[in-house]
Amino acid sequence: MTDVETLIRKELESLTPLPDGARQDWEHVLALSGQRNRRPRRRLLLTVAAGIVIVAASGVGIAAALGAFSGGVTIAQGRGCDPSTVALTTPSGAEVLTGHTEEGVYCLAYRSANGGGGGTAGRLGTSPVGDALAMKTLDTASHTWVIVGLVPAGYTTLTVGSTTVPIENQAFVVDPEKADAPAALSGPAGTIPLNLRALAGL
Amino acid sequence: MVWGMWINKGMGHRPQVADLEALYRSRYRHFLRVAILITSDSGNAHDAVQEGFAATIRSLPSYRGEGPLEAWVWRAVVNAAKKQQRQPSPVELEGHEPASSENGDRADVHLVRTWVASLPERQRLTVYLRYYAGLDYNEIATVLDVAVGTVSATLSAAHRRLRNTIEEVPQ
Repeated sequence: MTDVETLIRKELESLTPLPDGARQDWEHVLALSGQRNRRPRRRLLLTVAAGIVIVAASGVGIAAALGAFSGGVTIAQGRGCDPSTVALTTPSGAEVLTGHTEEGVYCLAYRSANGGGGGTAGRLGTSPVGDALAMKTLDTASHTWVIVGLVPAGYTTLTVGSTTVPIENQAFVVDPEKADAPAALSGPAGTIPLNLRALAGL
Repeated sequence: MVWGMWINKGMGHRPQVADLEALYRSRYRHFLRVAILITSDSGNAHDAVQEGFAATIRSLPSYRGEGPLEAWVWRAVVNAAKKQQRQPSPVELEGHEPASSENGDRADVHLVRTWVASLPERQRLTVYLRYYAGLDYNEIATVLDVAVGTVSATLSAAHRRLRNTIEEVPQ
C-alpha cells in the first residue's frame, strides 16, 4: 500500500517551497488594526497578564503539543525533538533548553522564570545566513524580547558588534536590539559569520 | 533559520498582541505560502496575511479560547485570502518548476501536482492546511468551521483521489 501521507509531504514541499519572508511588516499589521497608537495600553495589558501567568512546570512539553513545523523539518520530526537539556540559565532565571534527534533535527526552547516561553526546531548547517538555529521570543517574566540561539559544537563565543556573548552548551541569548550588528561565531571550530536578524526571522 | 515556533504562556493566559506578533514573525512565510495558493498572487497573498492578522487583533477582546490561537489566525488569513481570490485554480502550482527531490524522482512531483490541481476547492484547501501549514485535524476544523469528522473525511477523499491518480499514471 502506498504511504500517501509521506509522498504528499515530501513532494508538496518540493513543489512549492516556502516563499521569501522579506515583506514581513508587523507595523503595517498594527496600523491596519488600529493598534499603532495604543502601545502604552498594550504594554499595560501585557504586564497585567504576565502577573497572572500560572507557572507551567511542563510548559515546554505542552508547547510541543501546540507546535507546528514545516520547511526542511516535517511536523513529525519537529514534534519528535524534545528540548529537555538545560543548556544555560540566564541571570533572570530563564532557561534555554536544547535537544536533538537521531535524524539531525535540533530544537531549542526558552522558558521564562514564570514558566512562559516558546521554542523552535530545525536543522543546523542548512541556512545561507549562518549555521545556527535562532528565534525571537518574549520573556514573559521581564516583558522583554530576546533572541535565543543554538549553534554547532566547537564555538565558544558569539560576537555581536562590540559585544561578546558567551556560548554555553551550544546555546546563547542576546538582545534583539543588537541583531543588526555584524555577528560571528568563534571557537576551536573556527570563525563563521551569522546574520542574526535573518536567523531569528526579524 | 526559524522553521516553526510554538507559544506557551501557561494555563489561564489570554492571548495578547505580543503573542500574535511572535506568531507572525515565526510563521509569516507559512501563512504567505498558503495565501499564495489561494489567491494565485503573491501581492494579494501578502495583503491577506496582513489583513488576517489585523482582523485577529481587532477581535482579540472577543476571543474566548475556542480552539488554538494559531488556528484562529489561520481562519482570519484564509478568509481574507478568499476575498482576494482571483480564480479558484492553483495557478502558482501550474507555472512553478519544482526543485528535484532528493532521489531525483520527478515523476512523483508531477503526479502530486496533477493531483492537487484536480482537487475540488474544499479538498484542496484542507490539503494546504494539513501539509503546507502543518495543522492537525482539530486545528483545520477550527479554521474551516467544520466538524473534525468532516476534515477526516475530506482528507480521506483527497488521499483516495491521489491513489487513483497513481494507479492511472503508467509507471
